Formats: sequence, C-alpha cells, structure tokens
Amino acid sequence: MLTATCHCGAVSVDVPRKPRRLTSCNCSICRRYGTLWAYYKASDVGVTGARATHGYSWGDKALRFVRCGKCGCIMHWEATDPTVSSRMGVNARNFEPAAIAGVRVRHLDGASTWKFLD
Amino acid sequence: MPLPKTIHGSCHCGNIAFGLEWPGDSAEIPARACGCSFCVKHGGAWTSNPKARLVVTIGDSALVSRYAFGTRTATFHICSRCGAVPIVTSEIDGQLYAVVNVNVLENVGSASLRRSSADFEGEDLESRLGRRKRNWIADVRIQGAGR
Repeated sequence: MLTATCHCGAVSVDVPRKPRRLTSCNCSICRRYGTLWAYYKASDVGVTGARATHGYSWGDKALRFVRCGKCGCIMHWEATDPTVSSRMGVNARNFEPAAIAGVRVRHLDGASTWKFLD
Repeated sequence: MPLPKTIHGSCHCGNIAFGLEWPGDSAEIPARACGCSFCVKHGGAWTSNPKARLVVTIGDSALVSRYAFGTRTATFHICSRCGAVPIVTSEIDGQLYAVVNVNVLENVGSASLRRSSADFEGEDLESRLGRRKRNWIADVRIQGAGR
C-alpha cells in the first residue's frame, strides 16, 4: 500500500500498489495543478479527511478535482457520477518522492489531440 | 521568438489573474522547480525578475485562501474556487515581493521556459529574505477586479 498525503496532513489517500506509470497532462487544468496522475479503481482507493476537502468541476462537470481545503494540494479526481466511471486519478506528487522514483512518466496532450506525446 | 510585452497568467477559473511586464528583450524566462515540500506536492515552478512589474487582479478576494508554513515568510495565494496557486508573495521590510507560477501562464509556451531546479533547504532566514529581495519581482500591485 502507498499513501499520498497533503502538505498540512489533513487529507491522505491510500492506494493498493505502486503505479506502473504516471501521466503528465498539458490540459488547462492539469498543467495549472502540476499534477502527475496514477490511475486506480475508485473502489481500491481510500480517502481519509474527506471532510477537509474542496472540489472543483467545470465544463461538462464529468470530473471533480478534489484538494485539501487548507494547503490546496490536489489529491485526486473522481467521476461526479460514479455510475459513469469507476476510475480515479490519484496525484502522485503527494507520495513520498522516493516511492515513485523511476516510474515512467508519459506525457498526454490533453490540451488538443488526447494522444500521448511520447 | 521574443516574449510578449505583457505575460498573462491566471488560475483556471480566472479569479486570480496577472499581467507581468518582463524587462528587456530576452526570448526566455527562468522556471525554477523548487524542491521544498510544498512545491514538490504542487509541481510548482516559479519565475521572477527583480525589474519586472506585476499587476495581480483578484475577482473575488473572499475566494483567495492564503497558506504559509515553515518560516511563514512566504504566502501562497490559492484560488479557493479552482485550487490553482498562481502567485507567492513575501513581505520584507514593508515591501511586497512576488514570484509567479509558470504553470498558469497563458501566452508563453514551454519553449520559452528555461527550466532548472532549485533547492533552498538549509538556507538561514536572513539569506532567504536577502535572496528574495534580490531576485523576486519588487514592483507588485494587487487590485480588485473593479467594475
């Protein structure tokens, strides 16, 4: 198991295993957040401190980006309607850096083509 | 390609926006990925120039949260609607200094960013504030959106 923790410690996210790869996306939200996504089944992820979180959705509001309401660390995204998608993206920036050292990062062109750039 | 006359940036929802006038005619700007605990978690990379001029426009100041830690001499301005962190400020001897997050820039492409990493771990407080006075943007104005 791995745990992602926000800076102030109010929120943490447990995932069952180390990710095999990470995604860096250049879309309007991901580039601003500076996130590195690791994907899991939502039912495999445990969020502690959810009451301290704030969410942000825009456009079609299919996804909700969840962050710590105090230190602002982006913790994960989830489907706003869990019956539509069981996927969750967990922000690997909040893992201990050593825990994800060497994991391949793929660059997704979420800004336009939705294809990987590498 | 030369930099635009005014570099624009904003959080995702637009509540915190800025215009940055970069001095001279350089073609690129530095982007320092800071190694501190906050910046690593936020993927933050910052730029500044002591001769630049920064005007920050806040749509709704009730929707800006401020976070500080450690020496508590730097304030991270987090949009409490969308969660982006466009600017960091530090008030030193009554003067406001700032750096801006290159991840929120609108009209500067990645080819114009000269990326490096920076680690200020172990720096004492006096050196830290001195470095900010030398390197951070010294002409900073924060204003409401107005009508």
